Amino acid sequence: MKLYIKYMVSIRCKMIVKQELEKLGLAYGIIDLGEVEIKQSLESKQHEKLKIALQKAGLELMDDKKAILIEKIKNIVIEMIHYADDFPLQKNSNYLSEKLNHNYTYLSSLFSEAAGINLEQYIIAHKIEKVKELIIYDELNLTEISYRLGYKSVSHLSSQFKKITGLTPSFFKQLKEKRRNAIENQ
Amino acid sequence: MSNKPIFVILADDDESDRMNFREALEEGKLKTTVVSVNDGVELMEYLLREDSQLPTILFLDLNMPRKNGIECLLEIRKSERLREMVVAIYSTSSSEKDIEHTFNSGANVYIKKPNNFTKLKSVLNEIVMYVNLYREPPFNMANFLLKI
Repeated sequence: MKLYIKYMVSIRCKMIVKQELEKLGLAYGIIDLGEVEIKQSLESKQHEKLKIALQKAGLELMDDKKAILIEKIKNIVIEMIHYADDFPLQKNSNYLSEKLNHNYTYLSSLFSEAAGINLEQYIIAHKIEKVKELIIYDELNLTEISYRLGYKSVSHLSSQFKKITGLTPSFFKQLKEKRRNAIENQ
Repeated sequence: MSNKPIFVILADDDESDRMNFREALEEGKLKTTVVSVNDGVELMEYLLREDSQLPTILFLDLNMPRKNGIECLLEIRKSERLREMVVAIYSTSSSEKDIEHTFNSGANVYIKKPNNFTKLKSVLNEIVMYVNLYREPPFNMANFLLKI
């Protein structure tokens, strides 16, 4: 199983985590900043001990529940934008809180704490990524793309695209073609 | 959740720019490790060494002595090992010609150096945040294009 640890930022933190795991006799795999893979599942007693030990070093062992919730948020966003046939008609915030049974304020504050980006920006970034993909496929025009991803209008999509990427959708399309040619012909 | 520090290389011949850059990233929310080099020759020497650690993102000044940014960019895109690297052009110029030319040569990001520190900080940290996001699927690094 994977453990998630907050405020783990340096090699020294890694060493501390390693020491504590060894003290508790836990077999571990890869120790990354923020994430540790352990070989067995933790009993609640061990979990508590590790949590206290890490707290002394200024680290915070994240609740499994929270870590799982964040993963779930990501999965729902990705599913909704990249794989679903129909974009939900509700507002994103209602959709997420309904699916996860938590209020949106809670979800978004939890998310930005752990992921370093706020939930709205995360959703927008994914939408823009999908827009790019659809532009490159060249099967749908911008109006259809905007409809597909739940934008109110083409201009809403264009302005959001411009705001995130700095480029207009049509410049992006042009660029991708030229760029592909230029790099392939080198 | 990727809390790993993001490894950044800056190639710029101007010392004060290098200092501001480093400070701007240090004050940001995401953890970064910054290495800087003084010009294109030094940069390519580092990158082409087989044991060198590759950055998540490279910031490249266009006007540098010995070897300029465009030459480096073209070499990077030609190299099998370096091809996938995210390259941000970091320049004082904002001419349409430079922007289009660098994008067509394979740059991912074009930044005009901001003239004040607050702006620099927000611009750099925004990029680092997005580049971090783009490291996870379903994002596609080849589609990563920004002009700020």
